[in-house]
Amino acid sequence: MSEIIIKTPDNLEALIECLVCANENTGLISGGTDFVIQLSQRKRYRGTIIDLSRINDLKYVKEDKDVIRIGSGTTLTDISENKLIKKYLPSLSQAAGQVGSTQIRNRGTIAGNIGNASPCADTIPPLMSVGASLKIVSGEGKIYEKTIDEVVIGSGRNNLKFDEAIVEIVFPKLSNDYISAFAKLGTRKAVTISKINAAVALKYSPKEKLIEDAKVYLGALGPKSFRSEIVEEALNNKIPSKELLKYFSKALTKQVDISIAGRSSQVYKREAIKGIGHDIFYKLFGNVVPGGDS
Amino acid sequence: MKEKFKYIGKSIRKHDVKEKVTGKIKYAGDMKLGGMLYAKMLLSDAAHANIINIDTSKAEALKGVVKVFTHRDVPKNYYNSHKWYKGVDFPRDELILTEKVRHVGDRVAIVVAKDMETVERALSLIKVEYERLPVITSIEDAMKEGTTYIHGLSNKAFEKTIKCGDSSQILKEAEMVFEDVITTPKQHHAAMETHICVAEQDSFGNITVWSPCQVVFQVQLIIAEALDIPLDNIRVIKTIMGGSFGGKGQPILEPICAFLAMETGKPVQLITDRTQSIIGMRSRNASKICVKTAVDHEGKILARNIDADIDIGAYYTNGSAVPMAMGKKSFRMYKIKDQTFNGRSYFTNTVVGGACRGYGSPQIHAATEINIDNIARGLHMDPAELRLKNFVKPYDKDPTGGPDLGNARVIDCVERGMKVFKWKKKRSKAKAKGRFVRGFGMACAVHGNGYHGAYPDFITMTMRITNDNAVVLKSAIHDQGCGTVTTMKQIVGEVLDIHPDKVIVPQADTAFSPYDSAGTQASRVTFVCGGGAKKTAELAREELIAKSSVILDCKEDNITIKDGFIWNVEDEENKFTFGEMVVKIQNELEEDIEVTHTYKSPANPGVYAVNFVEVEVDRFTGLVKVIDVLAVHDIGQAINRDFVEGQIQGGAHMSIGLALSEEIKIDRMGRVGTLNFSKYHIINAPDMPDVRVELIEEGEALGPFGAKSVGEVCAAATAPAIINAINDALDINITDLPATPERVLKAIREKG
Repeated sequence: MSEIIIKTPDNLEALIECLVCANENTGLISGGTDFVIQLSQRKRYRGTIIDLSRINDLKYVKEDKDVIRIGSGTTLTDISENKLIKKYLPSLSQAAGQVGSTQIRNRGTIAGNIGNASPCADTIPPLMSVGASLKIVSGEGKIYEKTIDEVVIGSGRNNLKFDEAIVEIVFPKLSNDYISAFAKLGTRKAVTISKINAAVALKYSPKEKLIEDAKVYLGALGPKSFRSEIVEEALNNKIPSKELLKYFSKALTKQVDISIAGRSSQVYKREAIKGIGHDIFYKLFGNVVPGGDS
Repeated sequence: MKEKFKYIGKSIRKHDVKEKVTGKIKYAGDMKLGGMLYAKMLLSDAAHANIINIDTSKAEALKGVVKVFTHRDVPKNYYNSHKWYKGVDFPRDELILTEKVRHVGDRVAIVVAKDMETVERALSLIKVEYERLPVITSIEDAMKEGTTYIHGLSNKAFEKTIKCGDSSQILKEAEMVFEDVITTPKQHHAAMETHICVAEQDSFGNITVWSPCQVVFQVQLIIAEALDIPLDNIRVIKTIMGGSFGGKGQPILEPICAFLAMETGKPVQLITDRTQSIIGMRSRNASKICVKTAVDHEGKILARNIDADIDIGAYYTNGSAVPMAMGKKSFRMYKIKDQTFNGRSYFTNTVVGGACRGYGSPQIHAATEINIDNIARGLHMDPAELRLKNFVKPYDKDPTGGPDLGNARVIDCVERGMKVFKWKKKRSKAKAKGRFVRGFGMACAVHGNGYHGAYPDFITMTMRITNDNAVVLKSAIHDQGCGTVTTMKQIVGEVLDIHPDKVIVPQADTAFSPYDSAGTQASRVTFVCGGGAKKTAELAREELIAKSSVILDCKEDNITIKDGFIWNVEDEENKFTFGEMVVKIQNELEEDIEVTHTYKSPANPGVYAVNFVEVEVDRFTGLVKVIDVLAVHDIGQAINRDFVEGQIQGGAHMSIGLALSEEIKIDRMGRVGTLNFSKYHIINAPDMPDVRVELIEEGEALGPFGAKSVGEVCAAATAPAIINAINDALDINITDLPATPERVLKAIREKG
């Protein structure tokens, strides 16, 4: 029989105690939607699993003066439905609502989606677009913050030490002038792994009609989600219009051509990203530029 | 004139639905026998290679491992798992474990251990050394001269021509010839239950095998041939089926599991996981089909030539039967005086082919129905109208000498469908200019009703009316989850005028079921087995009437049977249940009500499906959404309306998958890219449209109460209808299935 030890701390102190004994054969699990599959595929038969899912203190979305705080154990379903997130970072709400299937979203957690560091992870681009950071606890009981960009290496790897766990995701509350949107493209409408995903956050006040401070992050086009300055430039200091949509789409295609030049998937993705461009554009500006349905 | 039925055509609930949805029913995977061992296979990760060495020492040293088997340990009796009766033979090229692997997924070793976890662990400790050979992954590669041969001295496994008239001359001289080359992918059956088997040997040396299978007598035969043991020492019991779709038609695990039980002396459960069921079991054959059709200006088909190349994978199995089935269908939908079908099968180092719902129909109809639409486009004709000019009519003959078409109602299907779908109105709509564009398409399919005209097609059934007022129908039927048991109950109930709940229908068990010649194959169950049930019930009824007339001392004409009661029409006061009457017959006459009948199938008519679909294509991403499917079916007569609809819904689901997303992807090295459902995309609930069903019930004289088959033909027409709709939406010509987003965008790009 297997020699896997499962520890189920139910509070932060207990978690730290578990982390003290952690070594290279220790794995963290919460929803388990990725880990359990890897467990059987990688034929892992020994080691320790620390199950964080019993720590109720890690399941929350809170509003502070300048930031929104999400407990690492919050499920993707809870994030997609949360009012604060819908208000302050709709792109994250949209992304969380499109991860996997309903069953996966009911179990899978945001920290898991980040820690798993898949190139096509859906919650990472929205979080990166607002410079989110992660609060990490270590076996020594220290708590420190790192940006999500620092923690995610990509291609399924992160640079957390084996005695470290993500306990909170923090992102700044943007002013009312900021809007955001997320879109993904898979091989089918739902329950699909992203072939491309994208998150955009930008400043736009209907009064001045000018786009400023655009942040564009694209996923599944490299080992990890990255910022596209080309696309940001295409948006900044522009007025939303049909022409801008075309310009925006062209910039996305250009970015695909640069990022995956020569890959067999380039042929499809450089064109199909136009669909993502349209989805995002109309999510952001559907109320000012008509024609979103066609 | 339509007969009025009491139970036929009614949507009676499936006999085991409650037990299934409450999770109480026991599948083979739930079986636990005393001292049972667990087993799993190690499948090859090389596509074509000789095994130089297998090091099992570490696996065997693991605590709990009973034994590790390799090709060195198994009998060298070649067999062909497609063979389903003595008297037919196909090239034998399968062994329980192989020394030369011929595809990724070929059988290399088996671990038997005390628990499943130890099995998995031991499997990971086996080291296999391969001498790699050149790999063939496509029909084109297989055809090349001087290439590597997978078996013997050619990769061509089979070739046959079926023809009527002389098409070549007409095609040569015709003014208008439309030619298309259509390709279809390898498709996985995607049953919820992966392949599994349990076997046990008793102290007399007899083997009992439990398997969710389609043909118990075939399982028995293949075990006997693979292990070279007497057929009658093997008992096969069909377990509750967790989905097959043809995938469990050929015995794959059964001979292996029987062998393991004999070798270990213990009961053994042999299991597979999803990846193994995708790469190591069977698949729908891939095909490349060239269709050339000559037509006149009015759209009348003058002649047609079909060249079908089939990729049967690494072993022969039914490599001759699939192209033959495809060929035969080509002559049974349109009246074409001069037509030639050339079918060829090729070995490749890919997943092995086998039966898969439709058995060639989805492939051949994808080809011919896309071609028909391209003809209509070329002639600026409505594709439905063009078809109507060419269809066969009821009671037409098969031009190649095959069985008569019977009451073939494909014209009714199209006419009804055009009306219900509002076809003309929808097709004439101008196309949207924006991102999303709607398209409309239709396609037809024909299938058969069993093996009559080709192979022995009969079933023996025994019926007994018990003294506790039940009717027991004993036969080797295999409910695949489609409601076969309840179908038989309804047929018997109708004949005997007793509620179907009173009819007991045990399933196939070689020890106790009378012989059946073909099991669940070839869409024969309702037509042939149902016909047998009807005839057997009629004989039981006659016997009941004859003996009751003795008991009641009246003329047979005076015996009345109604609602499960029997009486002398002149003595309304004394009505008896069948059970009460049987008690009298047993006690007063020392006789019984039990009949045995061997029913030979009298015919093999065509069944027809016509699908109308609406799709929405995203011009930017190439994603296609199926908005509406209308399936019109010529089924003769529904025995159970819900079951018929269930079949059609499920068939459409499988066919939409074939049209849009399902494909076992294999690279040039023979590696399979779609190892599980995260990569192999069947259509899921958000993408599944409602399927509207219309039934044409004009009765088939030789079917039970007029019924014909439905379970396979329903999986053939939706895919070409979708492709035709996509091509209609964008005025493109997609001819490669599935129409993935990549292919749709490519077609748009090429159109410019």
